[in-house]
Amino acid sequence: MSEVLERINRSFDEPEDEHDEVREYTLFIGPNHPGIEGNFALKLSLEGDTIVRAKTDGGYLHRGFEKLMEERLFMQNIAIVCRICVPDPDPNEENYARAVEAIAGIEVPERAKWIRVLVLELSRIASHLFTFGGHAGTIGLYTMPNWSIADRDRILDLFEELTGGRVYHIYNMPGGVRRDFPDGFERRVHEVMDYIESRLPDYDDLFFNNAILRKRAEGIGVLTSDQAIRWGATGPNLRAVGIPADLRRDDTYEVYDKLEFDIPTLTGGDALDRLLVRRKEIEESIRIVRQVVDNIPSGKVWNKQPNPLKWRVPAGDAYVRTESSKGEYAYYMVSDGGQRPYRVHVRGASTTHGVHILENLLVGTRIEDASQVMFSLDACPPEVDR
Amino acid sequence: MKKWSILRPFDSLKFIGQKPVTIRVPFESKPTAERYRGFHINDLEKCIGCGTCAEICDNDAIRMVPMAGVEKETGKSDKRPAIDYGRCCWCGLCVDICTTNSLGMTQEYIHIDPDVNTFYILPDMEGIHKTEYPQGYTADEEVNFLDLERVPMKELQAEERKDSFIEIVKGFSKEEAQKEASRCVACGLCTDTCPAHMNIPEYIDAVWRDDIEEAGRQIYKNNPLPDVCGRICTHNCETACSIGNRGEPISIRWLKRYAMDAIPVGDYRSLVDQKVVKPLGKNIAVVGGGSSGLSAGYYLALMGYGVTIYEAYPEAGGMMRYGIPEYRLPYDVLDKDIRFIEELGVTIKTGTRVGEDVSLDRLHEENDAVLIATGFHEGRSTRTPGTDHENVYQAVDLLAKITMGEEIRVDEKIVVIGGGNVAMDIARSLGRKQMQKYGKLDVTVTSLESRDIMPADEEEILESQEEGLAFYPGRGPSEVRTADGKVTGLKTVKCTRVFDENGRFSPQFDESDVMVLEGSMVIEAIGQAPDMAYLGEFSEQLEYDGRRLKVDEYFQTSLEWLFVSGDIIKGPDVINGIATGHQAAFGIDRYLQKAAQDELETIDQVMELVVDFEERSTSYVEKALSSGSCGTDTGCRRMLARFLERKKGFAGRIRDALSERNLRIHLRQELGREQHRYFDFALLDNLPEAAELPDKAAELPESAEGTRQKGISEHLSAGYRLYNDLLRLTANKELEFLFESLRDEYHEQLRIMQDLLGI
Amino acid sequence: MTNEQDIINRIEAAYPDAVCKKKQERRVEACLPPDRLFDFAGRMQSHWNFPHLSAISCVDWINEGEFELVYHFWSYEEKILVSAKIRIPREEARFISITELWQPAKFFERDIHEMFGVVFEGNDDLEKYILTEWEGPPPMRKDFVTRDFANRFYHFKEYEAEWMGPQQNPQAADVQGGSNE
Repeated sequence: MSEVLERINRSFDEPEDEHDEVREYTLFIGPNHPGIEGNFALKLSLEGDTIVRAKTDGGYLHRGFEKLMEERLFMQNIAIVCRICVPDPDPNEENYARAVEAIAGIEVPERAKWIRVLVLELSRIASHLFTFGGHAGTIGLYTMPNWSIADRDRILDLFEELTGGRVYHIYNMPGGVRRDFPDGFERRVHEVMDYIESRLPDYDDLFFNNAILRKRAEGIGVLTSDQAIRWGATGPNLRAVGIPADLRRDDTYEVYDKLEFDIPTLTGGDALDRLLVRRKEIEESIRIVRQVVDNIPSGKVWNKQPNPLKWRVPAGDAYVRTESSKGEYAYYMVSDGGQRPYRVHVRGASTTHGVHILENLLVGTRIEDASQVMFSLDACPPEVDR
Repeated sequence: MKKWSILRPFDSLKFIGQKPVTIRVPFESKPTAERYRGFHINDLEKCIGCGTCAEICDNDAIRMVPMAGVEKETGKSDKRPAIDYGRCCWCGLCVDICTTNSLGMTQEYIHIDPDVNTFYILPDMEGIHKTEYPQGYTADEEVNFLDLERVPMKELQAEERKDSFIEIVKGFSKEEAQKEASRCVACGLCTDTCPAHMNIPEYIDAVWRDDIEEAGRQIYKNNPLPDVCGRICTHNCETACSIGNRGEPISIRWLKRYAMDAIPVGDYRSLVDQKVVKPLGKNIAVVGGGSSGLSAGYYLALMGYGVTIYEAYPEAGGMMRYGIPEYRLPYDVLDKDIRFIEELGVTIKTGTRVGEDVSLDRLHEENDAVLIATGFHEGRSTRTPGTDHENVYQAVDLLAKITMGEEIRVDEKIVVIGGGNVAMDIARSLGRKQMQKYGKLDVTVTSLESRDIMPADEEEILESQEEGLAFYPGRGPSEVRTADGKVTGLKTVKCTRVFDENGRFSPQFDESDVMVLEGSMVIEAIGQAPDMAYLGEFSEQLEYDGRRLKVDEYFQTSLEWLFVSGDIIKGPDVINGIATGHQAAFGIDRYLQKAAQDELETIDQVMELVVDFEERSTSYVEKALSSGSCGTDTGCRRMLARFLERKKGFAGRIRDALSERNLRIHLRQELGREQHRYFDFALLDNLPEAAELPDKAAELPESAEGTRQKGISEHLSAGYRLYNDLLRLTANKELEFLFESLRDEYHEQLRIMQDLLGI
Repeated sequence: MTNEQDIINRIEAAYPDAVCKKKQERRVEACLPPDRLFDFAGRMQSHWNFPHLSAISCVDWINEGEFELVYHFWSYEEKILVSAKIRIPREEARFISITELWQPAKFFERDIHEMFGVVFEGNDDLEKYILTEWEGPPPMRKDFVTRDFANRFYHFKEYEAEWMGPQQNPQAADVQGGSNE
């Protein structure tokens, strides 16, 4: 890489003629670039084809959720939190519910905890499938999005059956979940899991073992383990540098401590490994989902809470974290003893990935590889914008 | 082969020829899951318009709108939810909180229309497109947002209470009251049902917030006898409570009692944000010191009238004292309320019977108006053979004697005739007397009505049964049996029906089914009647409506100085007594004001002026806007359009404020104090009129643009000054709030206008 | 692996003026005087093995006239999250940046500057990120009321649906719809 830079620099040092004065130029990518998730822009400074400086430009999806939450009743907020992140909405619901429960000291029925794990893992699979599709699109492999997004729909069908909504589930709420399994739900979960599992070899053939992907992604956007820690990488991006950190294990919540699953890691730290870690995670999630539907205890799914129109949560604060498909997703909630949250700070998983890490990782890569870096980080701009 | 290669993707050729998963819209449609959250449906038969869905909606997508053909009735409002799909997020919280389970969602999910108005619907069972779709998301019994169970009330057990007159109900503790209050969804259906239209959601909310002072303040707004009502009110509100549709209604009465018990009587003064103004020099006589007379006295005193209440019994309180036994309403509680009314300056002359000790004619001469609120004190007889025996008593007479501490006859076996609350009161009181005297209880209660239609409160009947009273409902008395001049029992026959098809009282009996209820004392408790002998010569001058006195909506009789309230007009119960007393006080004020028109501006006149101003200024701004003559400045146009939108409601809000009895009393006080004209009426008279504006801006002379804008700003500044004056004139918080918000609105617009014009 | 109490003891030994408590499993709260925060953060990173700055949260305590900044540190080895809380005056709020120690703090501080108006000395990038075209007050402050802003800024139009007869006074509905309090 440095060779390239040197060569370029040298060529600029010796201008061939006076018209070649312009060495550095600026290029905008976005906010409607098809290779970018959500509305998000990059301001790149380039020398030749090489990026020398990158600035992210967000805010296109700012909806002021933190402020909105301060003006709504505790129970009303369950309807809006999920909207913060479209592909992976459930960690929001999970965090919100768990934050209220932590402050108010609410117990959650055992069955609801299992159901929450199920929902979170299904959401993780769906989100990863979505990401694969998007990533493949950036290198022109358009069959992959057709497949993976169609398969994601099967999971959305499960969500629809369980919660009544496909994308926004509005299902977790303080005290438990809103509905129990419909009849025969366990069987259909198994069917979908079997199906997704059977599709993984197809994905391998089509995408992960496709020479095009390998050539494009391998060795691109390499994050060292030292950088990963220093720049605040979390989730799959951190696991792709060989650090087996996972909040489901380290800062365990719900019933993850009762479930068997591995934390897949790779050591390359490049775009390809970040992608492959996610591919392996799907297998683990399928394992978890199967354990949940096979072992879920019976019982109620919600502990009665006071009338939502007259409900005060005692003063206090809580910092809750969930391992989302994109990394560490955290909520800091403060209650002043009123009917509405006093403050909710949403720390999206992409807050570090989408701004700081992306800006640093892009430096030195070539313009055509920018999309590989961005997509392999799986940054979701709405999490940053909120 | 290498693990990865350029050839691997060709593996997917195996899918060629397989059926695609795509759904070919619009030829195919995708069925949804059973709990899909699609468009709303609402069972209008079940829906009560409580508006809880609108409250929980986190996007303000639900509005309660008046619906054609729907009338207000007990426990139902005249509004139904309309849903704005420009705002709805299909979260289904409305379904989960619906108090009647009327709201649901269907599996229908597609609506495409270029007309934005089709996205605003008033759902019924047919959904958005009036086509049948399977039901989607519905309420779930397990996950139920509402608290359907009451906090149980602690009471004395039957064994502890049946020999004493100690109050049975112990009242809520603070925690219990707050928990009970938190069940309320503040729909306000109770307020409509309450005869006194008490601010029930407001005081429940204050109890929940532990702001007892505020609770007391809200209670005192419409009820000057709150301690009494907190115990023995017939609580129609609880019948209307929306929570009662799926669960147990909120214990509204006990919450009121909790709030009033928590406030020491010495602090009551601070609860009444209405101050007593300088006396107006006008006097009112109130005949009867019961709930209605006291209520009227309270409100009249607040308005600055001199009030004297004439009470025949040794103490005031009427039926609350002499009818209701102490175990339901302890006398010190009643005294608490009465003492406070006396503190406000109401004179109560006890032991003075109008018609005997003082004549109605004299009251008329000495006072500007007279209110009669004498209630029902004559017991009705069953006219059964033998009831003229001396051991056959009237319940109301005995109850009064018990209260006065007089010795009454108590036999070992007693029969009570009647199925209402008075029958329960006398039966239970006598039972207690028996326990004290003989150590055992033997009271038999018989009524024409069968058990299911007995008019007494259900809890009264249940408590009586717990205490060991024997019930023989559905039987009619046919003879009081005597032997050797002594009563031996009551012969009854089976009653086959009480009312005829038209609901008229017309009992029929089965004479073959005879039962003799033993007892040496028989009590008649089948109802009461008024005794209005004191009317004397006036009774001929008065007009009647059937057997009742003819009155208008302010309870004014055909003799304009004479007003009536209480049981003789409506009821009989305490809360109607309070409500009619309040209304009569309002009527008396209206009557005396009309008489005093020369002296001071009436409220109605002032308010008519305000409403008139609003209408004139609205039409002026409207015309200026529509003709395009308010200027070419788009900023100015937008500002005025927005202002008009908001202003639409001003006149209505003023009118609403006036129909509120309490707010009137306020303005009344203030106008009475300020004997001069407060406003600069000329200012309002000289405003530019809409009619002066041309229809099109083009017709304007070029120099006129500034003039028109000046016209608008004159209206704005007049509005500002008008409300500012009104604001100075009132000391009532609600009115203050209203006038202040209107004033500020005008001020704000004026400021923007001046900015735009560069003034 | 140490437990929460060990961490608390360690903090209290090094910072006698810190008030610590265990909030729940794996959560420790440490309230510090503002001038100790930078030192504390440095020690967390280099001595106590807390390499991950999870977030910086800001809370506007308007009635007390203070902003509260909460720094969430996570240790991958101890598996404990320490939330360090400091309070600074709300008027012309300024505080020292910790970007020198933690690069991710850059964005968190930038966000707080944008939403609350706290200036972080030493952070060279406090440019607007989200509200680039906004000139009003920092919107996450408690004295910025969204509903007022919306009512003032936007023009609301009434529906004219067919089922709305003449008796459907839109004003009556508006009063209903506007009262979410």
